Amino acid sequence: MGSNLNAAPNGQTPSRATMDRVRRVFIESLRLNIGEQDLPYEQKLDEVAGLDSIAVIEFVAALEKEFSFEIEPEHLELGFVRDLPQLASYIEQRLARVSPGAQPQE
Amino acid sequence: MPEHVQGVGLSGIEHLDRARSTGKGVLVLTGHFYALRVARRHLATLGYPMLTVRSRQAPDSRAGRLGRRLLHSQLAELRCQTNQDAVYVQDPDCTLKILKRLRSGGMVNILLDSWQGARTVEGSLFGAPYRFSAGLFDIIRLSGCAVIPMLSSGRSTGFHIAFSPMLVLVEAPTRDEFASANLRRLEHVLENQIAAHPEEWTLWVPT
Repeated sequence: MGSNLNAAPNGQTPSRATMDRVRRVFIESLRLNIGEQDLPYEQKLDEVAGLDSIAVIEFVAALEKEFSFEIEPEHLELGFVRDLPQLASYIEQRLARVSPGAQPQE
Repeated sequence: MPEHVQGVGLSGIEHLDRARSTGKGVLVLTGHFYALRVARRHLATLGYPMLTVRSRQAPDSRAGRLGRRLLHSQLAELRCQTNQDAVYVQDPDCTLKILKRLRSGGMVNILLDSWQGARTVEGSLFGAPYRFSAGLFDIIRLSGCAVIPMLSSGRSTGFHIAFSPMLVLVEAPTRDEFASANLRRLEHVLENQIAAHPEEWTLWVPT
């Protein structure tokens, strides 16, 4: 993936590792028959695969299991969870709150 | 405890309060009973607002030309006006809104006897095949919310809202396993409600 990573709306650029991990969870949780290279960081997740309401909650549940926390209610918006950089940035912020200075683990 | 309001009886509110105290939100399961809209409005005035899960319905083929062209849209608008706290299963963010309400400690009302959506679970009702919405099982399983049956009954001479104790459901890692473990319990809830007031269940004629 190129160096032109999109910053999340909060101005923070998430790590490639976190974005890769979110992307992997997305593909695996929805059992998509695509490779990670088919989902560029800047592309909205639902532009790759049509998401119905059930798929959205399956993805959210898989993310929460992967990173071991619940997404706060104010962030349970479709516009938020479909944005890979924004989602990854949020995850890193949440993980930092739990363990300041810790890096997201693979 | 909310005061008794003339004309609307209320029982089992302690079950609802106990469900709310779990902190994971409450899924209120109901069937299609005539008094349900009155029940929702009344509960909202008592401080128990519920997010209602609905489906956008195409005009009924039995409504005739006038019904399809004019009355259906009027009916849809009236329903919307009587309860604006609703989400629609056809919307991709429907389950997110439900989860958001639950995570905020709120209440969500799902009609147990609706099979809206493409994904359903095959069950039975009084021994006859009946489909249930798969989304219902996903929401319960993934949110960990409290689940409580509610039966609303009555006519203009008097209504009654009755809450039953929280359902004790079996946890499972997948939808199929969760449905398999808990479907019969939910079927019993619906059957008991219908058996209690068969004249008030609105789905005897399939649509």
